[in-house]
Amino acid sequence: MNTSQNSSDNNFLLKKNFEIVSIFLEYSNWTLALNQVFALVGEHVQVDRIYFFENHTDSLTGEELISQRFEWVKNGIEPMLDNPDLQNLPIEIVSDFMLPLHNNKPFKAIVREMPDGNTKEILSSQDILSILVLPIWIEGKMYGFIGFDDCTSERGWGEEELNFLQSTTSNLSTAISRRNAMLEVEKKAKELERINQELEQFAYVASHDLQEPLRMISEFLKLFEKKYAEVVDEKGKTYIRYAVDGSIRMKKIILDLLEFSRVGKNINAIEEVDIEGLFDDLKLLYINKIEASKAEINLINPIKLLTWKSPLEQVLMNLLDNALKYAKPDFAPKIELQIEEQENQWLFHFTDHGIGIDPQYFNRIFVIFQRLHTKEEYEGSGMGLAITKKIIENMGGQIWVESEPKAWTTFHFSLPKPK
Amino acid sequence: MGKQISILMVEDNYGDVILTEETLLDGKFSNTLNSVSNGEEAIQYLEDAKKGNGTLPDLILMDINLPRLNGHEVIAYIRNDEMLKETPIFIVSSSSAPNDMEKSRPFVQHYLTKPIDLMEFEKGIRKIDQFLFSITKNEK
Repeated sequence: MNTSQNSSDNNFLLKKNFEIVSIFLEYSNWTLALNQVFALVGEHVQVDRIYFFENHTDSLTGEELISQRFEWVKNGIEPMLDNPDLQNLPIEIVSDFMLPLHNNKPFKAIVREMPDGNTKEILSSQDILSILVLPIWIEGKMYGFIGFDDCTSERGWGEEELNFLQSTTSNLSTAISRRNAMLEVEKKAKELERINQELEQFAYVASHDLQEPLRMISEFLKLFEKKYAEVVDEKGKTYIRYAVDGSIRMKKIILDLLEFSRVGKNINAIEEVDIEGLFDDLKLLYINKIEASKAEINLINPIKLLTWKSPLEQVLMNLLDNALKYAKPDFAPKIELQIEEQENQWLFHFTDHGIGIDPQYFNRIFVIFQRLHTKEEYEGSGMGLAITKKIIENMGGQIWVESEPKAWTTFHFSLPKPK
Repeated sequence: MGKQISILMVEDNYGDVILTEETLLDGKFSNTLNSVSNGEEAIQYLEDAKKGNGTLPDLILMDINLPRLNGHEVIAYIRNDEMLKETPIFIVSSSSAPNDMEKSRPFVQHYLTKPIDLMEFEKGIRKIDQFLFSITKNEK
């Protein structure tokens, strides 16, 4: 490293500045980056101490305070980072700095020549002979300042030195705002995760506790219908049937909600899944519907893959259920599953030749409780695809849809290969 | 007419007691059903019956989630009592807590989920036939 006083070499300063920017960009570890940058700057401009103070307010009194957050010292100079006197200082203690800093100007002084007062006192007590202070402005506010101490000579700060340190400081401002934005994002992400967990917990408790009273309603309605059939007229019986029907649908919603809240809770080990076997099991499960509708179901490529079996089974079951349900009236459903192997993932294409989906609803269909049809047209709780999406995302994949209304729908989903 | 099966149902939801009563009416076993609504009452009932104050049950239907003493505790009491320990127990629970039931598996004869299904109930009865050989079927 060049430690000569050749600070008039513009190229050299530019190079240093470039190094500093790269350090800020490269290091995700804040302390490490500051250490590197301060050491580089300190050695280059030959100062004894570089420090960073942050402005903040006392949360109780609202008083404006400053605290030292970071420090670099030259060998042989006493570090001040652990000096408790440099934490939560009232801003008045460095009142001499404040006017120039607030005007976004540097403060520079030879301590001996400063007027008597708080500022001179605190600087003298640290053996500082000469000082340069540069403000850090972030989003139109003075965020803090950087100080450069010379404890060995009463130096006047040259213009190029000043320029170099100012551009370092402005790089630091950028780095700080980037870091603050990052911290904010992390905080938001944590908060979101917490809210999500709470919501799932809520959905679980709500749906679990709703089952019992609902069972009472439906069971007693059934009992009533059975025992009092002779004394209730046709209209009365219709009313009871509406009530029973409503409770059955509500039960379905509650069970789906419970399932939605449970997705990902009991994930088993990855295993080899034989798609053909799995598909045959599903067809057996829907044998009545398939035979009644004369559905034609084809698995294009019966492969084996490594994944979580039961969530995949659930996904295919939900898609098959939809494909059978939303078939074109008076046409035998034609359903097709194709699997494409890619480098890092499997791509599934599940196609039906059913009623199709208007593209304007492509996003809505994956949202919980969103339905495109009345319950008289097609029954359902509006949760099947929401559950499906959640399961796939839980496995690290994605799902999307393509469709031609009145012609066909293809659900595409990806499953990452295990690493 | 044969002897009636005396059933004790430990269940805090009275609606379920009525539903069970109605379901069992359709079955081929004649029965009397007494019910208590928590674990403490169950033990009190059984203690009284042992002293001749009430009928000792031939079968106990037990909910697990009970106020005060829970089902597991009542089962432990029954299995440790000289007079009661042979009494068959069916656990009756809502379907949502399978792990909860697992704990009692070695101590009970059969599991039922609410609402009680008659066929499932009679399957349980056949399982415990050896316990109940003295009870003659009541052909209705």
